[in-house]
Amino acid sequence: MTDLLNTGESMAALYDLKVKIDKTIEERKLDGVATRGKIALQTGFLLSLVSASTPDDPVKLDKLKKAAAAVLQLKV
Amino acid sequence: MATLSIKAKVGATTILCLTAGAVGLLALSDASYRKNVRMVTQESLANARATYANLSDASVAKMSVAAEMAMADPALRETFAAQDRQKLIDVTAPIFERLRKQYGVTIFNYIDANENRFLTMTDTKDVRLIGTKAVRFNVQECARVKTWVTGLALGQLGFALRVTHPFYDSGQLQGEKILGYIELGSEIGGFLGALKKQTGREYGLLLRKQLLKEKDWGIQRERLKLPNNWNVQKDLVLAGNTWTDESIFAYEGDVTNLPDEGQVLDVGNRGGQIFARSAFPIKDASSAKVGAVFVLVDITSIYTDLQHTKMLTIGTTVALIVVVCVVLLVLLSSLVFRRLKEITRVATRLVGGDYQTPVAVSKADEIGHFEELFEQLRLVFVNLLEEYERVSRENDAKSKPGN
Repeated sequence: MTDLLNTGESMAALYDLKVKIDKTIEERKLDGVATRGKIALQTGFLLSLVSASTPDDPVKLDKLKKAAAAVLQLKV
Repeated sequence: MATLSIKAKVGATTILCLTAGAVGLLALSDASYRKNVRMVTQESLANARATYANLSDASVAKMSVAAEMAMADPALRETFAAQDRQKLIDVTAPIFERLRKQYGVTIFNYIDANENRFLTMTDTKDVRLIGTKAVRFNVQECARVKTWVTGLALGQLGFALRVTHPFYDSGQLQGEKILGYIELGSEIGGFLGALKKQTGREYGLLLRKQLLKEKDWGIQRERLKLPNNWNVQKDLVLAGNTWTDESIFAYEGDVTNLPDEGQVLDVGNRGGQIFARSAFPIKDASSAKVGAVFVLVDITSIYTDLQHTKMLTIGTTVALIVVVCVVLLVLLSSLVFRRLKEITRVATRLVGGDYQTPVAVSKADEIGHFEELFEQLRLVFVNLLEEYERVSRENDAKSKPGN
């Protein structure tokens, strides 16, 4: 993957992070709906609407990183 | 932004309100205590002053009658006229003894026509009390007006309520020739015991040093077998008291500034007993303020009641704070917090992908209306999301090759 505007993020970074979050929820056997809900309430967008074709938005990505760290203690 | 939960705010407000209420109650009980103390003290002061005046009047009346009877006694009159001191002592002694025992008369003096002391029955041997000038307002005034003069006066034998009268050769209240003067007196210190007996309060008598002589005071105290207390206070000296601790009568003020009706002074603690002090001035025969009678009122029970009320108020407040906080929080939890938590749970699940869980309207109140509104909002959101997914699917289908 190539860097976009030298931000250090890949083009599907938002989707990659979403996948990572889903995987973590599955691995930890958490309540998927409640956990994704908490993350969505923190980011302001629905994870279910993030797909591989969703263009990366640095602001959204930052919010998702912070939410993942806060809800799942996931260091990204 | 610092966050503070509604529970904490409600709890803090409740504590604040009840504490403010308790502080108000404590202030009220304190004001009531001060009012009670003032009332009791003022009442005691007025009572003491009236009792003192009554005792004084009664004492003057008794001494006046006794003096009149003494002057009417031919043996006594003839002996005084003959200036026979020893015989006069013999004649007067039984009369003085009876007056002392029955009426508290402690002074029985004969003063010659030139206002010199002829015989002082209290101490017949003291040379200072024989032939010396009796420099006292009541004696001088009696010589001037040639009739009764009564009032407080300080003599060699102390501060006493005195009755002074010209001793006529006729033995009557009026006459041609004055043989001299007869003076009966009752030491003011003795009044304090009578005051205590009648009112149940404690008393102290303070006199202005300015009107006394240190040497005479020392002699008098020695005669009364009392320690010399001349240097205990700056401007005043304690002439008598009914309480064990003399220090309670310490007074820095100027007794001449005390109003005639007296004044409530202060409250003090002595060995666990709380006393309210008040004082009224006493005047001598010339109407000059020579000292003050201090009145002690034991207000320990009033003070104990106040402490009890304070403890009760504090205890009740703490109990109220606990009860009100618990009741409020249980009520708020049931009516508000639990339902808000449920709405939050549904909202979280909704954005997490659960579009099926509805918000149940639990009660028809403000929160119930909000639950209803939120459920409508949820349905709009779900419909919108479904519409979005349908459009997305259609767009995906169109964008596929071959379409």
